[in-house]
Amino acid sequence: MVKITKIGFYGIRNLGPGLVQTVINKGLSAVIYEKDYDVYQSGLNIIERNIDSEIEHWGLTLKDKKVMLSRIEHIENLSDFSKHDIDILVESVEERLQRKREVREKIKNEVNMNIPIIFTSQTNSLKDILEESDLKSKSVNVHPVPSVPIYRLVEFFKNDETSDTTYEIVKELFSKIDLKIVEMKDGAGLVGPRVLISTILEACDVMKETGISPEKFDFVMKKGLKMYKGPLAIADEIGLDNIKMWIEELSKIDSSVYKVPEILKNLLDKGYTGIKAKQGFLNYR
Amino acid sequence: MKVLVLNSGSSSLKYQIIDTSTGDSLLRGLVDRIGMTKSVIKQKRFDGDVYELEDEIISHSVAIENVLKLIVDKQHGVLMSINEIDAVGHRVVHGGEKFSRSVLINDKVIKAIEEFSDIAPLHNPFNLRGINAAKKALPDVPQVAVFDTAFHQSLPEMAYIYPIPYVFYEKYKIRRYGFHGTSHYYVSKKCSEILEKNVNNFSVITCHLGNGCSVSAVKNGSSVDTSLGFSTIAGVMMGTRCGDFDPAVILNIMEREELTIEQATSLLTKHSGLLGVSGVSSDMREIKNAAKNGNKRAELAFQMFCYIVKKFIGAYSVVLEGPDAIVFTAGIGENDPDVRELSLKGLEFMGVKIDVEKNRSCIGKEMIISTDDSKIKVLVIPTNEELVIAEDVVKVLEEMEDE
Repeated sequence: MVKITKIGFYGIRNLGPGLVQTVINKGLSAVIYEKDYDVYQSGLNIIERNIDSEIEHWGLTLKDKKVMLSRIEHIENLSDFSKHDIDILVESVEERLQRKREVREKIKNEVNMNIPIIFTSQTNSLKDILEESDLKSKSVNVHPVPSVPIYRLVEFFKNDETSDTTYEIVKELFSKIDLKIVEMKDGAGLVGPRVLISTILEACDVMKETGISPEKFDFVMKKGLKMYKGPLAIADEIGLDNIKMWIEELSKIDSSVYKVPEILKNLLDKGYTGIKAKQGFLNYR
Repeated sequence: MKVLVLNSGSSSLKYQIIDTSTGDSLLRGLVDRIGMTKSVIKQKRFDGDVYELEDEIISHSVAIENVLKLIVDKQHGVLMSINEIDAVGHRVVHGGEKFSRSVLINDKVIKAIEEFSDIAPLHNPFNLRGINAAKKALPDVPQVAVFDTAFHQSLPEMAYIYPIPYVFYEKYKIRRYGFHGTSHYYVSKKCSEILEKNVNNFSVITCHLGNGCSVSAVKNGSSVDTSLGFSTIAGVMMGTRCGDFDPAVILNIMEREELTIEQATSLLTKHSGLLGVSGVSSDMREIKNAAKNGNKRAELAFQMFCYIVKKFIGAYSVVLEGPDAIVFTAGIGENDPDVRELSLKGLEFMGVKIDVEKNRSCIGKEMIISTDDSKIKVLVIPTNEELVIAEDVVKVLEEMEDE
């Protein structure tokens, strides 16, 4: 059994906060590299808000919150990862292929640790992210299903050259933090993101055509399709800016299917990015 | 015989070395935060020597390796060599319907414990980690599993089947199992010895009131009913666990507050009981302090706790058709005269007479706290689950030799 007690996070954007929350809830430490302090603080706010929501829903206690938050450390230099002796590194930056590739190079040149690397791309294949990089044996890609602390599920794929050691260590991590793994083939867009995006695009069409409110749309989906949360509420939770990025990345596969809808553009123009702005498809004020 | 007793949790490992020739605990310790950052080992020897160590302990195997080193440590240990450990006794929470007594661990036993992980997912997998780690570190030393549920396997069917469709018992073995078995066994047996009664003609109600609480009815040395059930949240209200209540309530709350199963479980196990009612604490001492200072909900929590214990005593008195004795044990049971007094208040009609002075003076020690003319004797008996485990280890090994 290898040591898995400290998980490094390269960035805290996208679905990173959910993963950090899951890690610290299981007694592990999270060392987060984020140069932009406002982004770090915003990620931390999301974690705190999610923990508060869990407390409100009886899932955690105030004592749990205090202990969990004490397990987060912030660093501003990539070289500090090795000083903190992290065991696994998780990439959690914006959902842009080019950005993922930049991060890949930074990890290779500045982190330079012989540890598994977990990319968290929702819409790009691991093959495209890694290209000819020599990080292939150390890398896998996971997609934490939105609300990962609640649903406790990640979609997971490795490339042909991912080493058995990397594969086993990453599986050990997910077992340790009690996340179920669904393994699949490398590809652009996993089950959750692609189906969610399709549903959101469909929702925007339905709302435009019928005038149904976002609240009613989510109500029908929850009660009719037995979803725990409505798709629009999930989108608000992920952040509508992130959703837009996912759609844009997926449009590279099929631009006739994946187009940013007008409703979404209008919301973003007004700064309504979802729960973090207290307004997205739904109102949280 | 020197027995290493292990109690392995998800991220902790409690250990004790017991000399079974005297029943003395030579050394006890706790490895905490296994697999997390900053693991801690705290150890206390019989002579008061205390040792603490902060280290990185990534697994139960590493924990056991550290424990074995500490046990033979020249400065803080009690043994000269690991070879002095004659056997290992493991506390295993769930033995299902398969184990009504302690057994020598072999591959079949391990497989069975694994199978019961479905009904005890929070305990059995971690007990197994301790077993596997100890087997690896001490491959030639016999290892015995002592089950928390075993003592209650004597419950009659009418006490363990739940009034829901029988098919769930057949499909998933959903039934009352009961827990704290080693404690109820120990204090019920000890009680018969103190009162010089033949255990085979003796009825006693045992109240294990600690962080977790359970009340059992024990007749002729066998458990005939117990308040904990399929899980460890049934029966008496506890520090943060709810105890018995109308199951429709949780379904209603889940619907209204849109709770997941995990959140509802957390509500019932971490937010309920004394803490949930009082809003003050899960600790009975703090509840009583708050009540003394006028906190009405703390007073309510205290009153409820005693009332529920009293209801179980009443119910089990009837089950036993008149018990010979009532025993209080564990943290609250051994140390809280107020709880004992209120739980027994008004039971003179059935022959329970408390000696108020004796009860007041009894804190954490063995004592008869009823009056001499009390028909039903009331006793305080400190529990010793580790000793039961060590004695069971000896029993199992002796029986093997006989065979």
